[in-house]
Amino acid sequence: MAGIIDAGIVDWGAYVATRRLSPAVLAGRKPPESGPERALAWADEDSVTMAVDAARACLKDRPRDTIDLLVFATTTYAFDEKQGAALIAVALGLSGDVRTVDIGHSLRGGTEALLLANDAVASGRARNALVLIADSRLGAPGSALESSGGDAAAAFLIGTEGVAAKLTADATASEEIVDVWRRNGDRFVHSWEDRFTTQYGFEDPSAAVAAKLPAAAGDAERVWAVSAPNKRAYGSLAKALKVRPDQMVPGLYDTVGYCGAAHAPLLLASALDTAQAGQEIAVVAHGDGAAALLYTVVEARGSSAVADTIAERVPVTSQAAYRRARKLDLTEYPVADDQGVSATIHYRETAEDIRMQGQRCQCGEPQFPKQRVCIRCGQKDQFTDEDFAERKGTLLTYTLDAFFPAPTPPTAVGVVLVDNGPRIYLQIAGLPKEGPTLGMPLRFVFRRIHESGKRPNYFWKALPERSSS
Amino acid sequence: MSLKDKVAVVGVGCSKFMENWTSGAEDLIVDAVFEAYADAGIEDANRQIDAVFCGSLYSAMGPVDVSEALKLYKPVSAVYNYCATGTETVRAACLAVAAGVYDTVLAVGYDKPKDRGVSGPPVTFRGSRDLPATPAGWFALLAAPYFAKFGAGREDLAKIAVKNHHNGTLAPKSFLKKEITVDDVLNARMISWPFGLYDCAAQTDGAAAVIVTRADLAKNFPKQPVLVKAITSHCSPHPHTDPDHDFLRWKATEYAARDAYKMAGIDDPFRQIDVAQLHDCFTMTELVSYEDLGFIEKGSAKDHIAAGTFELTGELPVNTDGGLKSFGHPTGASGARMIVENVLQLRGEAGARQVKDAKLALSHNIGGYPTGCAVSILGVE
Repeated sequence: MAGIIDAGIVDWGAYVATRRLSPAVLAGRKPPESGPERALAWADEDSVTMAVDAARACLKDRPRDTIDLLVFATTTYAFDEKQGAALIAVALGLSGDVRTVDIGHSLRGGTEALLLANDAVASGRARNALVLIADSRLGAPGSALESSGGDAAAAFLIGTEGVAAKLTADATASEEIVDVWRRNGDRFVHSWEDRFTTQYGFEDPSAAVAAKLPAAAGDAERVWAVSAPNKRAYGSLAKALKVRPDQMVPGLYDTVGYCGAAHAPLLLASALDTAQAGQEIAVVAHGDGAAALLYTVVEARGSSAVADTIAERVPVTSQAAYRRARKLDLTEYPVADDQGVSATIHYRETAEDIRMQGQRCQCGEPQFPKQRVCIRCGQKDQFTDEDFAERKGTLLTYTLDAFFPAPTPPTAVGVVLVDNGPRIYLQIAGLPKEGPTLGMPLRFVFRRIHESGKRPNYFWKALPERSSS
Repeated sequence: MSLKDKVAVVGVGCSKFMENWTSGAEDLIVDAVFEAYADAGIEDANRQIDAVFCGSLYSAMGPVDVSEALKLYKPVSAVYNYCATGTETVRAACLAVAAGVYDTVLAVGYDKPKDRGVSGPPVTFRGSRDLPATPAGWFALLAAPYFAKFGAGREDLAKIAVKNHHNGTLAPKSFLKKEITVDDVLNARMISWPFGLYDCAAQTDGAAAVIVTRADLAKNFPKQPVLVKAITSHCSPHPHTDPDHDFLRWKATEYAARDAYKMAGIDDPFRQIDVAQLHDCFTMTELVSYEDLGFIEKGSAKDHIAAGTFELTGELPVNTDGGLKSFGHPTGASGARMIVENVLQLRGEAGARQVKDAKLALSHNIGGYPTGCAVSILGVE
């Protein structure tokens, strides 16, 4: 890799959709005690919210003001025209000066995003770059893709200081092929005959780019993070590459499923979690050709980003709930058309809605949403903006609303007292079976709140704080 | 400045409250207002009525609805304050008379929610935040903190629903004429915890009308005049963001009641007031209103509910006609309907639900998130 500056992955994070769907539930049976399952983005999640989750796991307490480039790769963004990265940048509280780029349309977008970001940092164009790759795979009801897909996101902070794994080589091959596709307006992934797509869409191009990587340096151990479309293809590529099964990063097909553009990046994050210094990680992603990236691990971190998010798991218990969450049931009379939330109001409230920004009066009183006049001292316009999304909070009061349209009503909603902050009225998600309790500690997550105007409307929800055990 | 004894109610009328699929808002307005004309002995409305105020939550065309329905081409103005709209409409009429601008003014509250094509209140999508947005969800936010602090529970709320259903069976124009049990309430499907179906008011169509005049002119009308002792309104900060709210009360009620008692010269509301109509949009709203109106100590509602204090035979009967719960809740009409019921009680015309020797009667509306409250106190000498 002929960079001007040595660049690579400084840190990483992952988010696997918490809901897990087993083939048994898809078939209308009860969920088994154990067995294969796929990760399923719930009604309040999509590639944007999963990307935000992964990004927050990646950034933790790191400074965000040196991120000059944000790259968002996905094949499943809600708009054909309108950028996702610009939305995500606000949710993450990034500077308004950040360059934002969406990479779409190809399952290979994740590796392209990593390469683009690495080039930008290596050339000195960006101090740090944040790469987010998320996908949500929806197969037609009854198809194999319905149960083999997965919904997840991975995030990588690219920089030149504190690098954990530097990019040392890459190879790309482009190919025109109609193997797997969604036309404009299609909801479901379609594909040509399986044996054709596996060999010509995945195996051949993947093996070709892998062969272009240099041989392992000295006696360095090389592991492979490969975006095979299913478990069987994963095994056959190992044979084609002539690598031992234990050199293949576990493919997560029985826990997460094949998560499109996010798959190889998710396996890369998983490999980084347990990598030793000096080890090499080869990442291979297919889609309209294939790309391979070779990383050399500089520093072992001994982390568990991927294992942790896989462990946070809520089984989907009925096929009906799944169908409602993913809007698979036909209705004769769709909801009356409407303009939805006013675009001008949305524009004015962007900071409040997308980064949960409120304000603090010079008298000390925090407020959300933003006001002109202080509720405490009555003075006008004496406020400083303040972001609350990264704070914790406690539950002051709540109700469980059965009226609000949701896949599994009731919807919990409450008033949350933000630590050293205001009170905010919002939905409470991820509650334990016993329901909410007054005073329970909460954190905030970025979610889809409703689809007024047939567009996703985003805001934050409160989630029970993870127990420290 | 005070309104006390400057204005008198001389005529009241009320349509039947129901899911009225076969008549429109204008029919209901005609039913209520012509009953009020008859009550006041008005035969030539265009000569005897000087101005009209109308209140509706769902109609944005109040002045047209009312003037077209009544063929009454007078100053007609619309009043709006969420669920307090009905009382506010009568308040506007009283203010106009007290100011000396008009002698006799008609106030009509009405709503026709059953023409909206949805059951129950709407889930409103106004913005990206603040969802779910249903009245049940807004009013339910008191429950968890109140229950935790004072040990009350869903059973106490249920007894309020049982009481109001019973009272509703005694009111000819009420919607739900059905006795229910505590178990019925507890086993009904949940709407917004802790409110099940029977904890929620019955949304209906309906209209109610009140005719007020200068106190010194009241003798020219046939019925015993009922004097306006106080009619007040108050707004409070949004409970979702009020940094000092304890979720044990609705502040708007406390403010409006304080002003009303001062205006009417009342220092012991529980002893002095004989009958009250409270805004029981949800059972919990009635429960905290007992306390927020200063009838009883904060936290003691549970004991008074158990003792039957607010039942028809209790010390201070509340919602004698069944309230929003079972008489029905056409939003803009409810406050006016409460004043109609209090006038009937004070004149001794309340039939099977008559409270003996009622001399002073209070009514109360609260609405918004809730953020606005209006209170009236009427009396006879």
